[in-house]
Amino acid sequence: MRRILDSLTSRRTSIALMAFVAVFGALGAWIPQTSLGQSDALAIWQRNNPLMARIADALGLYAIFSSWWFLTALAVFAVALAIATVRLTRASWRAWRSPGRAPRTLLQGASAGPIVDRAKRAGFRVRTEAPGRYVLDRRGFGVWASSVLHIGMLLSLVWAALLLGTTTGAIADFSLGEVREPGMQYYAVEDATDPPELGVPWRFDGMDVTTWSSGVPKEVSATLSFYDGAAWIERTTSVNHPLRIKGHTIYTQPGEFGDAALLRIIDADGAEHLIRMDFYFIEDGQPTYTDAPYAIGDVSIEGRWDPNGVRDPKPLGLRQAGDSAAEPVTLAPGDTAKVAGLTVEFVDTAEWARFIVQRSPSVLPLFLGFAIIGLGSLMLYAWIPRELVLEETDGGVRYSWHAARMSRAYVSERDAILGTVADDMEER
Amino acid sequence: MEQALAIEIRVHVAALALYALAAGLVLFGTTMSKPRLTKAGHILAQIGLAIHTMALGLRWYGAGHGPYLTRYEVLSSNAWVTMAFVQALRLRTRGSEGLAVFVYPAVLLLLGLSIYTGPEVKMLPLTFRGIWLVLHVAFYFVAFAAAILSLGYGVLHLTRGTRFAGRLTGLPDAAALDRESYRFAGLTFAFWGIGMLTGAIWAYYSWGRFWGWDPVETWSLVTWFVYGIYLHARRFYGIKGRKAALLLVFGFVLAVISLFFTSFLTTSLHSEYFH
Repeated sequence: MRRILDSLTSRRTSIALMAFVAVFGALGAWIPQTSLGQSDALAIWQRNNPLMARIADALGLYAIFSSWWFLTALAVFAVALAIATVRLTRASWRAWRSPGRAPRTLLQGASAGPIVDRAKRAGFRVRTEAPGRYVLDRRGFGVWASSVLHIGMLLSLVWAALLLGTTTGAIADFSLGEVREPGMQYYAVEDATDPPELGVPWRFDGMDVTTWSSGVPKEVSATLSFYDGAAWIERTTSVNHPLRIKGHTIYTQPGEFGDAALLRIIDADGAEHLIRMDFYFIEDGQPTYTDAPYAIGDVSIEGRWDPNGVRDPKPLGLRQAGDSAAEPVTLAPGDTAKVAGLTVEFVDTAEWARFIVQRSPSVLPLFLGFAIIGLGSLMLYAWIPRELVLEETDGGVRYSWHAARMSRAYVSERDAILGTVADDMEER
Repeated sequence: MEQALAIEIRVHVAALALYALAAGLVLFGTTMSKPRLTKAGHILAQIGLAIHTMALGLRWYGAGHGPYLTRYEVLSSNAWVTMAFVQALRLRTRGSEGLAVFVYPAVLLLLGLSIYTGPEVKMLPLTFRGIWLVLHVAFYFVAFAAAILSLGYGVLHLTRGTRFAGRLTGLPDAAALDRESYRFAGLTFAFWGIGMLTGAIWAYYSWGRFWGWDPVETWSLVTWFVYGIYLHARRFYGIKGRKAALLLVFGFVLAVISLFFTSFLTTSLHSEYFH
């Protein structure tokens, strides 16, 4: 058992797992993945690469990132990482606490005093372990670099897994001024059995859009109000600045907002339908169109939104879906018209917006893990611990020199401190 | 602003011309043992860097955002960071002069490709506004510059013993070239990793998820892993010299694919970048 555990958590296995994740990650980036909602792209890829598609199909490469074997590899990697982190931390602790290395090389006729002075000037700290024995070190904390990096990676990996496993999300759809009560249905949910729920009523109070001169949005923010039992509390959320409230995060989505036409439609059977026909935000002032037809019984209609009067002074145009040759029937608010056998009243205009709502643990430990990885990475590169041990003897000074990780990279520094260039000197 | 953009392209071309001269002089001076020519080449490169800085400044002012969106901006910024890096290194580290033989032509290529792609200005998409994106991109610029330097030392190490290398003067010995390629691969690993993490933070604030196996994200992780494998192989398995340099070349190819090719995949969230 111990041997299996040892081999699973060896450095060699970690490297092999990194290579495994790299190879299949690259394949997963090349082959569209159904698990990432890329079914349409996959169909095109299969058409363009029939031979590769057969191989990928046989090997089950269309859902790599959610496959049991890929997730198992990641889990084993996490275990290997955890054990490597413990081992590295113990090794760093030993290196941190260990006495200086035994000096071996003799500098004949030298004395320790000037060397110590030069080392101090070069930024080394001096510790006298015994009379005539000095341990000089610089950036000694750098022995922790690998350990810090691995702690950060472990924390990030564990917290990322926790976040991925526990986060639930939904999309809330609002018309201007609409209140969402607890328990109301969402526009879309990731997991219908456990949707996120703030537990208080909240309301959409409008979008604020500033644009570049071309009409492209520059900044988009939304005003939302939350009822705390006594009063409505107003909060703002914008793209790139989600709102964290009651253990939930609310995101404003770029492009998921715009104008709408509120319609009352009477079908051929006399039944009444209330419809909110959505149009996405217009960037260039040109008319915009519904992205999918609206089905009213057996009839489908589509709309054109032209608030700037480019095509017609009346902002709303309606026609039967798919009948591209037909000129749309145009309406202004309050108008009623016949469209594809339906009686349509354009009641009013409205604003709409959709927000992502997520319930998740705090993301801060993940970002703390990231910061620790960053620190460890920089320490690995820039914080190379160097140690010079001097011992005065009858014939001169014996010394040892050690620069971790970058063997021979600090030879010139060592030579400058020792005041000599000696070919017989070798670092460990 | 439009005037700034009209001038900016000319200033960019001037920087390109100076880099071309600098690369030519340094190559000629180094291979023909003409130190004065080499020195003149370095001076021209420094003047070119100053002019390139002006060009990017004008671009920033004219476009209304930092130079990190279009192919023109990204390649030019990569060229600038690499040139700035190598100039700083020349001032600080002895024995780094010879690296210019590799890096100056690389910078010339990057800036040439940048100008070739055309200076069309694009508005910054909404999700591209924010400090995390700026940090994300900036760390990748530094990582890529470090990768070029690391590759430069690695390639110079690989050419040791060839007739070409025999003609180059002012290069450190093979062991030093090998060591420096290792050092800069470490820096690439560090900044690439930090770039990836700041990208994850940006993605979390923009799209509500910090990781989504997006092609660009995945290739970036793959590249980081390969540099990680390189560092482990060197430190714990004693791989160095030619084998290490070849692994580094492989890592660099992945870095190039990751930064400049994967964003063309239509399924990528990064498809607004580098187009």
